[in-house]
Amino acid sequence: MELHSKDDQFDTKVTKTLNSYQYANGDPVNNVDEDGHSIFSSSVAFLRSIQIAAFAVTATIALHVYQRSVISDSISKVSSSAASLIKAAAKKVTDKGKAKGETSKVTDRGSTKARDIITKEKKGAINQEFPKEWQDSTLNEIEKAAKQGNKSAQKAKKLLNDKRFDKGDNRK
Amino acid sequence: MLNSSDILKTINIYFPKEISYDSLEYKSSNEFLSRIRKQEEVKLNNSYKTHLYLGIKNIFHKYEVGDWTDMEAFNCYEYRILLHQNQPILDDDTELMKALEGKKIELFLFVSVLSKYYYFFTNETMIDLTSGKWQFKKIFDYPEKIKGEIENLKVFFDVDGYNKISNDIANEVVDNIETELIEKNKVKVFNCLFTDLILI
Repeated sequence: MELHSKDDQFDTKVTKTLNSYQYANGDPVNNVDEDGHSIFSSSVAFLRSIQIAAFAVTATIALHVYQRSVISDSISKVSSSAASLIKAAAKKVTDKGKAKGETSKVTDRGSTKARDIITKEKKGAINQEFPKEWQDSTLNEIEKAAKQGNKSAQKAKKLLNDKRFDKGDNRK
Repeated sequence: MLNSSDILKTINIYFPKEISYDSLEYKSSNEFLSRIRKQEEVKLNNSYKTHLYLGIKNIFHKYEVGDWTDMEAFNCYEYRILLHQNQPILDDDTELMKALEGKKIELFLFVSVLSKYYYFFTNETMIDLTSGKWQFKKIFDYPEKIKGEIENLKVFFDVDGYNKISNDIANEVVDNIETELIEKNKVKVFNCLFTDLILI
């Protein structure tokens, strides 16, 4: 094996030949000449390779640490934006929940007393025909009695569902 | 002069006797089905509804006329005429009561779809604006100030072949008939011909 250029660190004292173009002093099994200027025995090369490996490992670890810190930073950034998103989503859900809560309050007409439904939703004129005995009953109670055939409950139910008595229903 | 037997004959066409309203027998009876058919016919006749409404509005042009007809549920055209001049009907009737200083007078007018009968009474509404307590009073007559309008109303209905039901006949109880909202033996002629939501 020969080098393409002359080895300027060629030492004839330690070499078995005068051929300065020779690789690893003519013993490539035991010697290495990585840059083509010097020779090292394989054991030295082994140590050097360990050094390189150690460096590589250190570098890898350093890179890993760096990456981790970058990733961690990114994660923290992502987390922070994710957190904001989650917060926003959570807020939406909460708001929706609240809205639902309000809706369910609105739609929970069944457990509301007739008197309160009338005050909230109906014109005062409804009071003229609304059966007094059902004023303090809930809509559910009225509906149950109506189902059982109670005529005044049927009338109360009909009046509570009669759109003509709705507030804002301006009949012309 | 109207007599109650003619009116009862009409009622018997549309209301089955001795049958509970909630029963299947009632809903499949010829009388009930005839009533439903009649309501359907009338619902399709928009031109008569318009004629009626415009005629009444024209007669009571000094007042606001509210159309309270609910043909799905009752057997009549129903109008509420606010007998206060220059006072529009407001969305919020409490506000309306405030504008009227606590007392409202209306003419409640009913026109049957089962046969050619009509009926009206005066309705007074009072509210205690402090406590919010409502009071109501039905007066089976009309105020003197609308005498001219009532005469014109009679002419308008005469032309169309309608007769006014007297208070006595309107208050007659019809035996063995039950309606959706009124028990047997409490149903009056008024409830059969017009509405069972209002008691007179």
